[in-house]
Amino acid sequence: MNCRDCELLLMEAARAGGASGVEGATGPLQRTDLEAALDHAASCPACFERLAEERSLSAGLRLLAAAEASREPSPGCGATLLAAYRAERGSEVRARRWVFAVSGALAASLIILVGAALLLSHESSTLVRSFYSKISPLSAHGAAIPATAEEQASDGDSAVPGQEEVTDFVPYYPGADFGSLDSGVLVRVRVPASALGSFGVQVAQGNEEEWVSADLLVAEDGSPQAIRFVRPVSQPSSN
Amino acid sequence: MNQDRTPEALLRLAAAGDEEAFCALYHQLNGFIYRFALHMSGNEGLAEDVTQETFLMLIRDPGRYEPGRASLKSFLYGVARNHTLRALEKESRFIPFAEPGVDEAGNSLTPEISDPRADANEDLLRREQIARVRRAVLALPAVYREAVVLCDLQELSYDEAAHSLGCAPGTLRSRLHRGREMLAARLRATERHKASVAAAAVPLGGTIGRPREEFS
Repeated sequence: MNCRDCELLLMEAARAGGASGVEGATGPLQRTDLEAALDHAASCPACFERLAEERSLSAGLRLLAAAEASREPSPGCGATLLAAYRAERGSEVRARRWVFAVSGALAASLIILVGAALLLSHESSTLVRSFYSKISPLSAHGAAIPATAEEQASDGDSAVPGQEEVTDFVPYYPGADFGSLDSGVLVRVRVPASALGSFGVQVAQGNEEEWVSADLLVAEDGSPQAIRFVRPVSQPSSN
Repeated sequence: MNQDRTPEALLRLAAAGDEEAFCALYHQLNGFIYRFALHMSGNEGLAEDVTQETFLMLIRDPGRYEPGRASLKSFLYGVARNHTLRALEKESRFIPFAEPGVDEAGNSLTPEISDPRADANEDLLRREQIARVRRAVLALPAVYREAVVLCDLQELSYDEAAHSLGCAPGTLRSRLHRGREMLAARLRATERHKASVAAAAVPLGGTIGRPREEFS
């Protein structure tokens, strides 16, 4: 080992402290190196002097470090930081509360909107059904729907809701073979009584202006195949 | 140390709103940061400002510390170092004429290292030596000063100090070596100056005093 190799190692030996100068070695390799450097310094006056200077310097630095080891910032510094911490956490809590409040309000608004939409949708479907019942109330398999029953009730005071008399189906147009249909849709419509004549149904004199209910049998392709006429069953008057 | 009381664990708790954890964290680390800035600047006011700025960063943005990369202490030294260098650059007048640790009235602010056996002369010599080393450290260029302060005064390992300074451990070791060389040279020069002043003072003392035997 030469003097140049020793330089850093002598610094390490002085920094490590202790009588031997190798107590602070971080591993066996460094310990071996330090021992070699110290051996060299023992036989080299220049390195010996350098080691002494390094040790003196380390001692001076340790003295300075020890003298100021208990130096701390003033209590005011800690108090300021604690206030800053509280303010920061407080603003975070306020921000969190604000977010909760806004998201809560948004959620409530959303619920109200959805509720209103559902209500409107229900009302509009009722309206639509009511509207369609005026022109073509649907009636699957000949079952009367409430709208029709209500109309029937309004047609005659003694009409029994849900009970009605029907005629046989008559072809909607000449040659219509509705008997061979596998499936179809029955559509309840209102037609003027004057139209009954064209289907071979007799209309009493003076009743031509009235409107009557009819079931239209519609094939799957959408073409009407047959029609029958419907009359609400009148309940015998109790008095 | 209890695992839950490590600076890293305390920071997690403090970030979650635990005020007690924040206080504990501050008490664990404030001295290191303050003394680092004090050794770097020689100015108590600046050191306190740096300490405050460093912890304020931790309060406002605790997520800036990435636990996997280094210890919280190293990270904070790095933050404090940046604040200190910026402040020193801005306020170069902060290298004080007066001794650091002495108030306006000249009273020492440095706590006594109590050694009841030490007499007044020894104490004076020790204080002088401390003041010389302090001045020599403050006179180092910042790049070497920070290496000496972190490794020799704050006793960080090479890895910790290198992380704080953002350099490789080998680079840090070289800077430390160079810094210590400069420090030793400055202290040698101070010693020479002191010796020459003392030598010049001897004849003056000789003219005033008389040998005691003349009276006998």
